[in-house]
Amino acid sequence: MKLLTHNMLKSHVKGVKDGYPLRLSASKVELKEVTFNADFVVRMLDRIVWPVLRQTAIEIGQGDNLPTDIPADAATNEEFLRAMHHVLLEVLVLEGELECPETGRKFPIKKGIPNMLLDEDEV
Amino acid sequence: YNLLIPPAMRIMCLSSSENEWRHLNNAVVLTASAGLFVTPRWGYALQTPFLLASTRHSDAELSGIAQRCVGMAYMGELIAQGENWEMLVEVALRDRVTDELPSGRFKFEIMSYNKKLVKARKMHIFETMAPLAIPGAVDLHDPEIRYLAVEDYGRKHMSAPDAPHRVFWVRQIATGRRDLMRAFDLKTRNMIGNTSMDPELAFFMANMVQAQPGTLAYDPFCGTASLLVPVAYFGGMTMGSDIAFQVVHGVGKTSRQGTGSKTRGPKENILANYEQYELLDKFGDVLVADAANPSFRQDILFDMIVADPPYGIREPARRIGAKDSRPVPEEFRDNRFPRSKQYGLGAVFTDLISFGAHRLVLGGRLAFWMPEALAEEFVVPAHRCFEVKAACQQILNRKLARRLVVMAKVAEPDASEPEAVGLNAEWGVRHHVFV
Repeated sequence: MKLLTHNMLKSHVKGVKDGYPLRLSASKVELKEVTFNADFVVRMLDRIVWPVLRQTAIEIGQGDNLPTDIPADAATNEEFLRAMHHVLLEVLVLEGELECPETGRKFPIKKGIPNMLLDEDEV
Repeated sequence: YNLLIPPAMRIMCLSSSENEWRHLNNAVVLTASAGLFVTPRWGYALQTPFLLASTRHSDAELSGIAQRCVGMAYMGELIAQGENWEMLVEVALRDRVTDELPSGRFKFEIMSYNKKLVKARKMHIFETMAPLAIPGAVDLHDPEIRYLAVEDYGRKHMSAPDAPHRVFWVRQIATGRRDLMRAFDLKTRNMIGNTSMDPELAFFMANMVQAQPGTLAYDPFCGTASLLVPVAYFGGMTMGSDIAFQVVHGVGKTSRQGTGSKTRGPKENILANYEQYELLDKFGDVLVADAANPSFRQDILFDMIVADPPYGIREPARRIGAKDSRPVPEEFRDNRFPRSKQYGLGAVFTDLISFGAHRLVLGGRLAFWMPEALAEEFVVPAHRCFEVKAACQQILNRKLARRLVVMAKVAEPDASEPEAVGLNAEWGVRHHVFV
């Protein structure tokens, strides 16, 4: 699972108000190079919740050079875009868990694939 | 300032067959590029492989467009046309069309549709065309310009008339991408499922949702990602999810026959498909998730959504839930599959369209397949946030067809308005098939 995906997912257990962000605990992380695509990263600037992306990246040891806020010139700032590209697409969580911030319900990540299925009494 | 606009150029595209779908897709790709006007309309039975259009695009731009046309054999500038070669030459001389032609080393070829030409016929064409003084010198081995004299003998499987219906003189701009059909053939794909989409139709969908670099696409019923692979090929970042754990993880019973194994092998997984086509850069993620209960935050935006939901015929439509929702004892929560119940077809499509209304960018596209019982009148779902662009029919058998519905998001949803799409939750086609 990429941090791009983590940024988009929430808990949808019945009764949960916000369910976002999911707390990520990663027991196995892999880095894999992805060709830099500035267009894509620029398009994601206003779709990503930056504080969540940054915080999650820091928690798994990949957020060293990320600024607190998206810089004003982000769309043309290649250094920033490359840093964002790295945390969005090149950090793969292979094993771990996503935890609902409200209910504590855990969604397992196995072989890089999160399982977001609820039990039938949770929908 | 009008002088800055390049003059319109007439082009001729040769679809790879008379197949309506191929025509349609070529027309979609062409019209999707601004400045092009294409004659055929949706659902139009053309019964000819020739598609004429007018454009202000340059050769280089048109070559780029042709790169997306999986149903196109050839694209060229239409220099002249006529009922026969004598008439064509007369018109070409009168209008002095050769004055406008580029100068360079050229090659002149002859092509016919629905008839194999004998040598004498070819010689006749060459001789008739001879009075046209084409600028430049002939070079058969390394031409800079390729001209084509095309004879149209009408529809395939009909006996060809003695004389062609019409003739074209064309300068080649680009060839289409029939080669992709071989490259993405399901027979050689690492992982397939029972309902993997035919690559040609999957490429059509990727065109209809305007997949391109920089975009983010999602398929909530991704299966083996057969709809997402062409989107990725056109440069979109792809996300997929499916309720079927075994498919998403590439385990369990294989759909591949003749390998001597009943279970999926180490290369039979979604990631291996992306790897096979060198598309790993466009693999966003796949999730095990229930389309009936989306686990994306409310405000996430996709550029396009593609889907081929299960129709309840070859694959069951399921959602998590149970009639008697007993609490699950905590000690059993891990290592169990949740119980699922039937996901009514009407609800499947209502949920899908509603999801698209909320999770697509304005202008974003939603394309999905819907089954159609031929005994019933087909109702195209309608939603106030969407404009229906197409509902193309593909006949599957005597009782059943399916429609590729393409919608563009034209308005943001408003909480105060109901999200009806005109489908009854109980609607389905299964009872027409299994009578």
